[in-house]
Amino acid sequence: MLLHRDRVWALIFLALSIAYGVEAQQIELYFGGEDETFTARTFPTALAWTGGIVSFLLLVSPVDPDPRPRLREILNYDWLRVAALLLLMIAYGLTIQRFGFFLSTSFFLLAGYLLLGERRPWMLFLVSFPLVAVFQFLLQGLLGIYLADPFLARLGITG
Amino acid sequence: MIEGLWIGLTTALQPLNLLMVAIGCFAGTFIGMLPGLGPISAIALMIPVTYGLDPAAGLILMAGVYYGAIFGGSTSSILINAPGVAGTVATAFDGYPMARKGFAGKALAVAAYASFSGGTIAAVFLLLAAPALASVALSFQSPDYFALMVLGLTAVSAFAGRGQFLKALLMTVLGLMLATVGQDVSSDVSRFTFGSIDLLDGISFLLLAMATFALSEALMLVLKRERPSAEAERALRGGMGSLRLDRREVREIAPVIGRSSLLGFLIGVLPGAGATIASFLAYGMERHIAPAGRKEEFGRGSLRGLAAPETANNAACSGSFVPLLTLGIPGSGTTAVMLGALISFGIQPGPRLFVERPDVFWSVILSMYIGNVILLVLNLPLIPYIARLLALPRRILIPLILFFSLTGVYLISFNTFDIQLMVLFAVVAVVLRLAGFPMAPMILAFVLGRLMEENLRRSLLLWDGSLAFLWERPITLGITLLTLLVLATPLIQFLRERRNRPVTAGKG
Repeated sequence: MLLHRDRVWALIFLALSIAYGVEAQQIELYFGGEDETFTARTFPTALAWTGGIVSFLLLVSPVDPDPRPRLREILNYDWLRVAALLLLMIAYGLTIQRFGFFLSTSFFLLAGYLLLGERRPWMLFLVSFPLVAVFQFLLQGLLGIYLADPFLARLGITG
Repeated sequence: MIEGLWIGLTTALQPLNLLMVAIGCFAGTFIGMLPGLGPISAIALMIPVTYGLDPAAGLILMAGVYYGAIFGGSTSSILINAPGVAGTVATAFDGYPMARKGFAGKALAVAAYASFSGGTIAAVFLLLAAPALASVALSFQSPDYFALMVLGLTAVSAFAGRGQFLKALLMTVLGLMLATVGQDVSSDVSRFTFGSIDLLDGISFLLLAMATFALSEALMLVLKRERPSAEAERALRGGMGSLRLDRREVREIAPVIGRSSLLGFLIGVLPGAGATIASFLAYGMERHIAPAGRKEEFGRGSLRGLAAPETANNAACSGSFVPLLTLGIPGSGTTAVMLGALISFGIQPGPRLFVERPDVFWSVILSMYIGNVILLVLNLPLIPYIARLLALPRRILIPLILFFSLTGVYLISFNTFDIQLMVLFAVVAVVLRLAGFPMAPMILAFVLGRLMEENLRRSLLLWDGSLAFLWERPITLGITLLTLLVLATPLIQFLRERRNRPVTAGKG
């Protein structure tokens, strides 16, 4: 028999609470700190115990009889597109400082629209490069937030 | 109080602050209208903008967004039966049938008048209740605060919904665990950083709020392949009809508004309850007390059935500011996000706020009233045009939400590690949402985590490491008993259902 989804989550949280509790005991204390009433370990230790107890209660509490149809529904979701968007966000984080805010943000938006099915070239252009240019002007020109941008600096647009 | 009120009035009526309320209401209406995006996401998206403003203006902007988001949620509930916010689910019960009968304009007008009246009456209650509660709260000590925070977190879990109590409690614990990451405030010892310098300052509240609400909600829209429904196109093609109400209709909804305002405000003040519970209770109460002939109208386009939840949800929004502004303890996910923003402004809400920063305290309360006026005067006539945004393609909207969320966080820290951490949290949030875990208790616990630890530390130091502070002080004992009662409620409910089940089965 398959383990119910809520029970699996209870086990995950129980494992997390145990790992958190073990890690809490590794928190460094000053010399003689063990004897103090309240140390940096006290609150995390209490949380680990609370997490463990609540996870255990979830594990033993009655559950919905049949979660399988929902699982089937979840498996049919658009996971591929979401994974692609997540990769895109990671890539954005990796490139924003190397290529600058303007280029990386514009390409991030462009790729995002394409991934979600936008194909009109004028629309793709309009809501990426000009939009980011206006946004960056508002940030730097009006709000005075400095954004290091090697690409625009090379073009002589920003300092 | 009069002096504070005057300072607040002059602050709230400054041109910049009036502009902030207007922008907040518009932005909130737009974001709240989009199914999937609620007031928490709307406020989280606004936080980076508020960092360039003074605290009063920033908080006024966020309060405007809050009201706008609730109003926007009502619009999509009425027009396309797709509540953008949980607090407006009950609005759809009678608002949508009215729109289907060709009275979309009238339904929107009733929603706007009810929201305005509910918000206004509740703002007056807030004006009277907040200073009184704040002066009582001045006598609170660390044990009381600790007990209050435990009560708030427990109540949020208890009100999370049927069968959700333990899951909400687990999310609360997770939020508290995340709050312990970084340097310990009292000893400067690093905790749960795993050697990473980027985690020494802890996890940014904005990062967590953006990742678990704005980012994960946008990803959920992609995941579920949600498209603007045929209903949206039909509603936008079909026109709105008249926005006018006749005298008989006004007479019918006036007492409903009065009752629902009071109920909504009181529910809003309770930690954990909020707009959603207030709107359902008000709807249920009106259906219960309606004359025999009028009861059948509920669910088929009843004016009373529309006015009650709309009034109550707005009144509850005002009510939820009472614990935030007077005790510094947010009662809901939305006010928790606002508390996080206030702390980042260097303002600690609590009983001293209305003494030390009357400009912030009173201007926020008064701007709520101004926000209601703006929603009525400016938003209502513009609704037919704003509603066209419902047809904005998701393929354009979602990358823009991702962009605003990521850059919003990046522009505060200029650290790319934050972007990667956001992606990680967004993935975890999506998975947890699919498993039915609520996010609001987690963000509430995260915001309160450090305050809670600090108050527990002080209490234990004062009581020599004993937990006796929970029952030796009368105020703390009262709050502790209330917490135990809240904890026992889901258990009693479960036992009662179990006892009733065989009886019902036997009857059938």
